[in-house]
Amino acid sequence: MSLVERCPRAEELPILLEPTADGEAEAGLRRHTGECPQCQSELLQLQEGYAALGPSPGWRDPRQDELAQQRIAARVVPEILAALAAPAPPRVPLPVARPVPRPALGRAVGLGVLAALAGVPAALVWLRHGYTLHEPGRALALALLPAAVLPVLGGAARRGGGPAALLGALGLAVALMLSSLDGLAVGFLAGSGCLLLAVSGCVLPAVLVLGAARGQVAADAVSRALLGVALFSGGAALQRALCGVAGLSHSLVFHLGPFLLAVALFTVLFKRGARELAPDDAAA
Amino acid sequence: MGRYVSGDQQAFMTLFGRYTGRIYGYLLHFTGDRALAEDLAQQTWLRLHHARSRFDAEARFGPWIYTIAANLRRDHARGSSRASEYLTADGSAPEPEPGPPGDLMTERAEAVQQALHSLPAGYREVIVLHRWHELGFAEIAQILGTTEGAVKVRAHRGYLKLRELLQRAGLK
Repeated sequence: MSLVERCPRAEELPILLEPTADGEAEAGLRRHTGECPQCQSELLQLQEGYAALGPSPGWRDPRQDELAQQRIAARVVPEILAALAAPAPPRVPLPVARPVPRPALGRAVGLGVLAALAGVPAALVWLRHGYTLHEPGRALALALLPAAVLPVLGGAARRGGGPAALLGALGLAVALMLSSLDGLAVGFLAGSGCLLLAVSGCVLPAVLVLGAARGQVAADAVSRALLGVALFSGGAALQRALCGVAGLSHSLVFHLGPFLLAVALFTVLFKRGARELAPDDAAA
Repeated sequence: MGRYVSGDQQAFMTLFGRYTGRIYGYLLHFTGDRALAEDLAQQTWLRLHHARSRFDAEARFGPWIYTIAANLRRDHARGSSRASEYLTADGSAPEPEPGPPGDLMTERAEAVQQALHSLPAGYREVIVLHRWHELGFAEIAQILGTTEGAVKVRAHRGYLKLRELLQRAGLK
């Protein structure tokens, strides 16, 4: 039996196409493919596809290529050489360290923002209206909803239009908080909350997952976005659960059920997105 | 690269000579327009020059210049009237991107180009960078701003699909 007992994931096999694939992992893969007919066949097909392309573009005309390079050089080289010949401006000495984001700090800031967005309106509503005990929980959960949308839009920000979307979300969050202060919580908040849920909980993740399947959106952006969706759905479910437990008009089962279903749907979509479905697979 | 950043003209000329053809070829493949590819290649070098002090001395130069070229190409595609190549408004498959000038292609090369352009753009870009530009999966991931795992998946599916298309066209 091979040292690599189980078949590797299919996407590991292209490593063996690389001429420099001589590490330990690659050696294990080679041993396995040497013994496993199924992986051997898969690798053979990959090698055929790889070889079919040929070593270089057959359309390249060296003469045209050379002329193009000369034209590029004519514009670029004098400018850059002149800049290099000029006295060097003071600059950061090499090696330049890239600023490395500090995840712990980022998480702390994010949690602080979330806490402020959720806690401040809840506290204000409670203090101003002297609501019974279940109301602060409801206000907190409602205030959490728009804040939880931000990571979703943050994922979309990588594809452009991000600042506008983030500003829009912040504006919406502020509007929701203000409306809760003015006692409009029931009608306006319930309506806008449902709308937000529909848009950010269903449409955005679907677009992102489909985008990832076609390679338009990086898979890690989708992961982050879906984390936001999970937060959003969790917040919404919590809010509805609180309403139900408190005996308000929203029943627990009626509201919690769809949200749980939505979370299950997102999970399925996420898994499919992570596998990066090809369009033809998706159609099938 | 370190010598170039320090102002060494010869070092710049070495890098320029080594990478201009590749970058031009990469841009030409994905734009199908010689003049545009030249323009974008020029912009790539100028942008690289202005950003040279930010280059990480421990990083490799190749992926960095390809990343700049890829970003410029994407910016141009986003700004141009050519819409997304993934799906048209009615959900049907789009027309393939214009390939290189046909008069320069052999019959086989033309079939390969056609097959290549039938692939989803995400697969095609990975395959072109891997096969013709001889970049590793980690470097391609860096250029495309995605994970190495995602790049391997695209390579795997792309090569298999390419093989199937070429077989269907009577080539192997």
